[in-house]
Amino acid sequence: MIFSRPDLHADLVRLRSSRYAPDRAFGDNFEFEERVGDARRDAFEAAGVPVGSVLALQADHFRMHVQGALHDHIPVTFTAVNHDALYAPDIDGNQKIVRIECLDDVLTKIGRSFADIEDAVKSGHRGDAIVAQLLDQWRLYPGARPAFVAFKSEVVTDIGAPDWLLRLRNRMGLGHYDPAAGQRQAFALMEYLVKDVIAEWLPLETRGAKRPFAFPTVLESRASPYFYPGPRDLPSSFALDLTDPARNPIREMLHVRITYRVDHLVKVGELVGLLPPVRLGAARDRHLDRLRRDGGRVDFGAPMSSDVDE
Amino acid sequence: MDAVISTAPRRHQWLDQLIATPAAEVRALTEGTASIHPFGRAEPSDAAATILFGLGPEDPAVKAFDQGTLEVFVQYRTATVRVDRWQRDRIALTALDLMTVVQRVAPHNTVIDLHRRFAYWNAWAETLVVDRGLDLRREYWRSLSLTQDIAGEAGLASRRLLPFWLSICSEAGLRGRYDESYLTVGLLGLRSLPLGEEAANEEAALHGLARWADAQRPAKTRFLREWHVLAGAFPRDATFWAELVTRVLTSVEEEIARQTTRARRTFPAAEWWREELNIVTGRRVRSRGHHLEPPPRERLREVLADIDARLPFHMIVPRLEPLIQGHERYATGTGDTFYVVRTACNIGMRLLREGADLASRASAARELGRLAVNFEPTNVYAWALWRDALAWEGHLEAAEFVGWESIRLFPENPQWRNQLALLLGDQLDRPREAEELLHDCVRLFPYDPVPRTQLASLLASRLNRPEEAESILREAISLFPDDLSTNIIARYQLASILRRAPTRSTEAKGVLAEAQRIERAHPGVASALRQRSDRPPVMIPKNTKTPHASANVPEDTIELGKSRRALFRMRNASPKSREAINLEFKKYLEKGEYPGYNYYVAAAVGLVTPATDDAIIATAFLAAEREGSAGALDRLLGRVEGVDAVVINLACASRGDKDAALRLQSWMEEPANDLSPRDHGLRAIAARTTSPLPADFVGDMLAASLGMSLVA
Repeated sequence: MIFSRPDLHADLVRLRSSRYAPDRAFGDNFEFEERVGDARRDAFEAAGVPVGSVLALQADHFRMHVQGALHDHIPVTFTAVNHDALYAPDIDGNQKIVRIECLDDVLTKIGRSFADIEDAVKSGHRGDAIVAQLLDQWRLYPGARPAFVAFKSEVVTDIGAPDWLLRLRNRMGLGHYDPAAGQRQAFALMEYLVKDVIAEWLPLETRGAKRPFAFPTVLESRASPYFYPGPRDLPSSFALDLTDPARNPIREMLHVRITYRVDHLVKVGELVGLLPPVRLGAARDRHLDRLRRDGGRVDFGAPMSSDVDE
Repeated sequence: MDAVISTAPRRHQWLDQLIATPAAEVRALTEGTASIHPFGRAEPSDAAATILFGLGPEDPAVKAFDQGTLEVFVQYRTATVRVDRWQRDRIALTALDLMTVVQRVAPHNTVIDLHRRFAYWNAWAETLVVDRGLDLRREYWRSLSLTQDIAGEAGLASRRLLPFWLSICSEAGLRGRYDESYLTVGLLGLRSLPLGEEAANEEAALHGLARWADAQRPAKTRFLREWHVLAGAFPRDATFWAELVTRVLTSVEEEIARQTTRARRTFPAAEWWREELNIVTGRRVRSRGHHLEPPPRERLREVLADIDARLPFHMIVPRLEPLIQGHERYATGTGDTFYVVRTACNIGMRLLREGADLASRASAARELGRLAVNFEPTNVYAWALWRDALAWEGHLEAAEFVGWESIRLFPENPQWRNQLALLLGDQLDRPREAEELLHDCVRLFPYDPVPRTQLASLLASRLNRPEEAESILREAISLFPDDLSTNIIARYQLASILRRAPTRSTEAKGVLAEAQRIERAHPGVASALRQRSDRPPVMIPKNTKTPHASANVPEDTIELGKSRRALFRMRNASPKSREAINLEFKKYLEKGEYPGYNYYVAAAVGLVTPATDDAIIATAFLAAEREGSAGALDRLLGRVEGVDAVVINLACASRGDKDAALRLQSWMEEPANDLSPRDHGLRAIAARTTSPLPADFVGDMLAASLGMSLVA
C-alpha cells in the first residue's frame, strides 16, 4: 500500500524506522499490504481528519467506515471499493466457523458474573434465559463491525484440548487479550455455519455488500502488531500464530455482522494472567517465513526482529 | 512455545504518559491511538481494565485516569454542539466507548460527577441516541446503575434512583418512551441499589418487572424469560417467591384498579406469574412482621380527620410526619411507591383546601408535592399539587416554571395549559399572556370546551373585552351542544356578561333561565359542577419573585420551564419584540445548557436549521416537515418506535395518510397503558382529532421525552 499523501508517507517512514517493535510492525503492515487497491486507499486518505498520522487515520477509518455508527451500516470491507480483498469463491455453506468473543463488557452490562454464564452454558439448556440476555446485549453493539473467524476444521484439536482458550488465542493471533497478573478475562467460543453468514448477507447485497466474506487488510481493525498482511496471490489470509513455530498457521477471514443465536455459544472459559509473553519480532518473522514459502514470494515483506528492541 | 523472556512489565509504561497528560491520553485510548501495546486492537474498556488492574485508588495513574476521563467527557460534550452528522457519530462512538470504560473501571470522581450532575450529563447523552446500538443515554444510565454504591458512599442519598429505575422499566418497550433494551438497565439499577438496612433488592426488582409487564404487555415467553433471569439472581425457595410476588401483584393491581376506576383490575402477565408460582388468585398478603410494612390506612384517615377538623397545623404535624416518613421508608425499601404517592397527594390536596395557618399548610403541601413527583415523575396529581402549593405559599415564579415544565412534559393534556393560564391571569397578573396561552390551547385542542369558557372568563373579567367573550361563549354553546357542563357554564358566563349592558338584561335573563332549565333537567351534572367550583380561596401573593432556593424547586426544573416559556413567547411574539426575545434565547443556547431540549426550541422557532438525520427525533421531525415530502416522514418513522412512533403516526393520519391511520387504529385497539398520562393524552387526541395536527404541536409531543430534571 503506497500512500499518495506525503504527510502519511512521511509518518509511515517514521514508523518503519522505529526500534519500538509495535511501531515497526504497524508501519510494516501498511508497507506490505497488497490487498488495498488504489480506490480504497484514496478513500482512506480522503476521509477523516487531516492529522498526518497514519495510526490516527487508521483508527478513525476503522471506527467510521469499517465498524460504522449505525446498525445498518455496510462496512467498506465488503463493498466494491475493497474489490481486491473481497473473498470471491463460493465456499461450502455447510461448514463450521469459529470465533472468540470477549465477555467482560457484556457481563458487566447485564450485571452478571462469569460463573453465571458458565453455569448457564454447562447446564445444557440451550434456551437458557441468561444466554439469551447476553446475546441481546451483544446485538446492541454499535455499528456493524466485521467479524474475524477461523474454520473449525483447522482448530478442532485445539478446541477439544483442556487449554482450548489459550490455544485459540495464540493460534488466532489475539495478542491483545493479555490479562494482567491475577486478572481474569472471560471469553466465549462461538460456532456457526458459513451458510448462517450467507443468509444474513443476502439482504445486504442490494445495499452494497458485494460479498459476505473478505480477506482482512491492515485497514480492518485498530492498529495491531499481531496482524500480518498476506501476499495478494495467496488464496487465503493467515492468522499470526503467537507462539508455536512448528504448526501450520490457520486461515482467517472476515464476514458481515451476524445475529448470534443461543446455539452459537458453544462454551466459555477464562484467561488468567500472566500469560507467557509473546516475542513480537520473532513471531512476525516466523510468520513471514511461512508466507514467503507458501506464497512462493521470497521478496514479500521484510523481517524485523534484528531491527527492533524487545 | 517461545523461550520465555519476560517482556511484560508489571506496570505499563503508558501509565507515565497518562500521569503527565491525563486527558490527552484518555482521549487517545478511547480514539484508538494510545501507545498501549499489546492492547492496541482491544476494546478501550478491556485495555483500561487490564492496564489499571491491581492499582490502588491512591495510585497517581488511577487518579490521572479519573481526571482525564472526566475532562474528556466535558470535551466531548462541548464538541457535540451543532456538529455535522459525521462528527456527531464520531463523538457518539468514542463517548460510548468511554462510557463502557466507566462501567468497567468506575473512575471515582468521574462516577460521582456523572451522578451529581445528572441533568447536565443526561441532557447531552440524550442528543446522542443515534440508533438502538449507538445510544449514549442508555449507556450513561447503565453507568449510573452500576455505580450507585460509589455515589452513596460519596454522600448522595443511596436509594434515590429507585423511582427512576422503576420508570425506566415501565417505559421500556414498544408502548413506551424507550426501546426494550432499557429494561435491562432499569432492572440492573433496581438490583444494584445500595442496600443500607435492606437484605436484598429482589422486591424492588419485582416491582420493576411488574410495571414493565403491565405497561408493555410482553408475550408470555418474553415475560417468563425476564422472570427466570431475575429469579436466578436471587436463590430463594418457592414459598418466598409466592409470598413476594403476591405482595407485588396486589399492589400493582390495586393501583391499576384505582387509576381505571375499576374498569381494569389486572394484567396478563400477572396470571402467568401466578401460574408459574402456583399462587391462587385472591391470595391475601400476609404481614411481614418487620419494618417493611406500609403504615396502616387508619393513620392516613386520622391525619385527614385532623385536617378536616381544622386543627392548627402544629397539631397535625405529630401525626403527619411519621406517617409520611413511614410511607417513604416503605417505598424506598421495597420499590412499592404507590402508597407514598397516593398518601402525599391526598394529604397535600386536603391541606390546601382546609384549615387555618395557611403558610405552614402550603409549605407542607409543597414538600408533599415534591415528594410525590420524585417518586412518580409522571403522576399528574403530584405535579398539580406541587405547582398549586408553591403558588399558595407565594412562590409564584417557581410555581409558574413548574407549570411550564408540566406543559413541556405532558403536552397532550390541555389541563396543564388551562391551569397555568389561571395562575398567569389571576395570581401573576399577566392576563395577556394567559390569553395567548388559552388561544393556543383552543387551537391545539379544538374539541375541548374548557379553554374556550376559561378564555371567555378571562376576556370578560380581566381584559375588559366582553364582546369577544360573548362571541367565544356563543361559539362554545353551538360547537358543543351535547356537552351539558359547557352548556351550563357558558350560559351562566354569558348571562353575567349580558347583564352588564342595561339594554340586554332581558336577553341575559333568557340565557340564565336556559342554564337553570338544563341544570334542573340534569341534577347530577349540576351537582358535579358545584363541587368542582368549590375551589379554595386564592391567596394574595406576598412576593412574586421569591428566590427559587426557598421554594426548594430544582434549578433544572426551573431552567427547563424557562426554556418552555421562551418557546411559547418566541412563537407568540409580535414581529417588533421577536428579535429581542430570539436574541436572548440564542445567547442562552450558546451556553450549551440542556443541549437537547434547547436545540429543539431553537429549531422550532427557526434559530437553527434542523436536519432530517438529527439524532433528536423532535428536530428531525421539524426538518422532515420543512422538507415536505411524505418520504421524509416515512424515513423518520423507520427510525422510531414506542410513543414517538405513535405521535408521528398520529400526525400523518391527521393529514390523511391511510397507512398511518391503520397503524394508529391498531394501536388504539390495544389496551391502554393506564398508568401513563401520555398514553391517555395521545389516545384522547387520536380519538377526537379531525383536522391536521399542527406541526409545532407534534414537535412538542416528540420533545416531551427530552430533558429530565428531577433525577439526582
